[in-house]
Amino acid sequence: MGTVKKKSFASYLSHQVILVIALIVVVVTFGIIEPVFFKPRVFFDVFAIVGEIGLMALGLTFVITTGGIDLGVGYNLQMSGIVFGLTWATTQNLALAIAFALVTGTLGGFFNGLIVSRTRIPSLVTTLATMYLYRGISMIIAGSNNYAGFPDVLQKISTTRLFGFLPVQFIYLMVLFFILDFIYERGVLGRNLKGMGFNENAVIYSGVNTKKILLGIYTFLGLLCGMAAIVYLGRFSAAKTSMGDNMNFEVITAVLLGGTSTMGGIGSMRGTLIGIIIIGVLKKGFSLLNFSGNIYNFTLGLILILSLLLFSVMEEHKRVSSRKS
Amino acid sequence: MNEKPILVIDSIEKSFPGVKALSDVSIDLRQGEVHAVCGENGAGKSTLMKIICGVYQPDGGKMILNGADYSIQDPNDAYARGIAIIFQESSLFPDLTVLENIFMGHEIQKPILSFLKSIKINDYPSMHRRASAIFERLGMDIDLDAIVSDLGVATKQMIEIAKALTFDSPILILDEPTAALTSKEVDTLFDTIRKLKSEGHSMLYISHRLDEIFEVCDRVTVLRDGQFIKTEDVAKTNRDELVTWMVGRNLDTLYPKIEVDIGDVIFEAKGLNQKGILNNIDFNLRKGEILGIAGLAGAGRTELALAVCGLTKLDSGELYLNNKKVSFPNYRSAQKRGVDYISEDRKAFGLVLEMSVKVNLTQKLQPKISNFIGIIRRNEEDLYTEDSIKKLDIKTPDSDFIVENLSGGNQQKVSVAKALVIDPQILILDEPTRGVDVGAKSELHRIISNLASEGRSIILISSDLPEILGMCDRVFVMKEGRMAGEVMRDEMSQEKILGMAL
Repeated sequence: MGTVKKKSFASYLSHQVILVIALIVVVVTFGIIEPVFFKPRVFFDVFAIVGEIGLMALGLTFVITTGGIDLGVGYNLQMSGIVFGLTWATTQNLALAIAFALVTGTLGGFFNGLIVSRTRIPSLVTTLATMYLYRGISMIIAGSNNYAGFPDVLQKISTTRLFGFLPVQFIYLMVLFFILDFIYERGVLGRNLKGMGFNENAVIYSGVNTKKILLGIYTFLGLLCGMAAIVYLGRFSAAKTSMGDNMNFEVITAVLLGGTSTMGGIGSMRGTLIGIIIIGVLKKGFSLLNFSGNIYNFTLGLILILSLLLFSVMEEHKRVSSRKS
Repeated sequence: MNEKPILVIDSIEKSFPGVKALSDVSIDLRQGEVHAVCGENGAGKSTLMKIICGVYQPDGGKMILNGADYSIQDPNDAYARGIAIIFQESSLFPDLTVLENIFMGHEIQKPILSFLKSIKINDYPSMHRRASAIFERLGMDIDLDAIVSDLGVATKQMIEIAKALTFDSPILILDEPTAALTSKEVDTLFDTIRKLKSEGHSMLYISHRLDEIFEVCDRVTVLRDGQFIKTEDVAKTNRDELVTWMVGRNLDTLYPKIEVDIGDVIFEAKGLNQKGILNNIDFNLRKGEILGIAGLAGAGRTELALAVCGLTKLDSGELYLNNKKVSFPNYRSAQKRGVDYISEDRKAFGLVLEMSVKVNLTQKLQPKISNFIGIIRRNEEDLYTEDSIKKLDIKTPDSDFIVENLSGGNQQKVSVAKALVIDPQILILDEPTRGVDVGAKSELHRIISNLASEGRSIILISSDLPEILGMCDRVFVMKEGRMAGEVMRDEMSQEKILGMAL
């Protein structure tokens, strides 16, 4: 009987091992084609382009662990960015613009959380609707306008390199990662999130207010979208309605690639972190090789479906072997 | 009854990797008899039934049906050979009608037009006639066009039986058919069983409830740990003997009640109302008392428990704890005041089966064993976990073991222990022994008795009347959301309680 636990531990390990191997294969492949890829500088460049995706993916891991999803994080980022642009254009006050962007993102997440926690409408449908709602809001505010001319300080927020090489985005990502990973693995919250993913009723019947938790994690994800918007604007210094277009998919891919199950209950922040890095490497590699965005999307889709297939086969294998013993 | 066996199971062997599930098990089923198969959980009853209907293949031994050797590939094959199994969990399609369910997979068909023989459509009028005739035979009046999900558990069971009868199966296997039925529904089921028996059907009847075996069965076969123990005429044995064969030792008693000096009223409910569910309920509970709540399924017993401990909202009513008025806006506030509830359905509400024993045991303790930012203090958690495992004697390899892989009785103990870690003074147990075997049942009763003797007050909701009689100091009977009556221990009888409940 004791072997069951060992088995599940082993497959948990092998799962992350597979991810790391995949990462190494991708890096080596790129390196062979373009030796520049082996330079440490390029390695750090990867972190300089995954800041926004990373922040949102770490937050989304909480949501997916409960068995939920947020399809529209990219459009929440877009809405927050446009609000930032509008505020800056009207007031020229950076602090106010940042505050408004954060509030907008948070409200976007809060609204999702409100619907998901208070009604029986599935998060999939809820966020499908609100993602177009938020996109619509950006379109109405901005139309074909670009907001630009932000102060240099903003750029420093996301493109500074500490000691000349370490991207400040790496720091943001790692700080958030360590906090969330600790909460996820050792905290009451992490435990309840996993419990809710498996059997929400049992968690409710232990006296936990799961509605509050759901509202909280969607709202927190919204706040991260707002922060991601600021990081994004620091990098691109213009807010327009095409920002964040591809991110819904990239963020969800990072989380699922990391092994968090859409069925809920199973997941890890570490997996998500590796997923983020894999996406960053692909992005960097494809841009170094001058591949088009279409090929990048194609590859991402392919990798996602392959990894989901792999996990489902592993899961099935685990179930069969535990049934036998 | 005819002495000639219709189905003979001879020296069946079956192993799974690492486990010998059945060794040398033999049963002979005679024509027109109801043959009980009993044993504790894990005794091999289900495995045996699955072999008979072709879900598993035996490793050794043989089966003889109507005097000829018989081997079988799958349950459809079994149906075709006249063996129908009615599973414990309904295999009906909830969104289809009664009629569609009964003929699922073997619809009566007719050509679409008299000259187009190859294109066939379902012949609903014929199916309707056939099904009506079967229900008439069973003495049941069921709307064949009703959607199954709108029907009660008892009716579903009847539909399963009717489905089996459309195959004209001479042999029926009933796996725990009464597990979810109220006593009135059980009576109806027994009438049906007797009727089928008189028509010459043979039945294998699997049940945990020993009383039922004496009520409706002719012979009984006892299995223990995959071994054949004995086959005996029901008339020649008794309940205690049966229990001894099943557990292989003398159970000192199934209801080890400890006499406790019952103290003052510590909890009182006045005028509890919940629209359409609870109707003006008053009751009180004394220190050290085990208060039973009896009644039929749907009488509002579980709903009362949920409302008392803040899991659902009351429309009106007052609660008093130690003569002080209290209100529980949510479940955790009730837990903080020492009132806790253990759900009747551990799979759906009681436990997160996919997580570890430790996580489940300490789920209600989270506020206590975590620091201000919600990080769990692991050494404290381990302490509580080890303590619980030891105290309730939960049989688990270690505290990180996944609950799903424990036996039913041990899962139930985890469910109870999960409430005990917060040290409740008032504990509401909802059907704590449903679906657990005799050994675990006796153990759970001992735990309940001990809790009362420690001065805790227990509310025991149960559909198992012998359990109420054996364990409770006082019993409240509920009926249609109201309190229908109160009986003290020295006046209790099954008839009296049932009379109030009906």
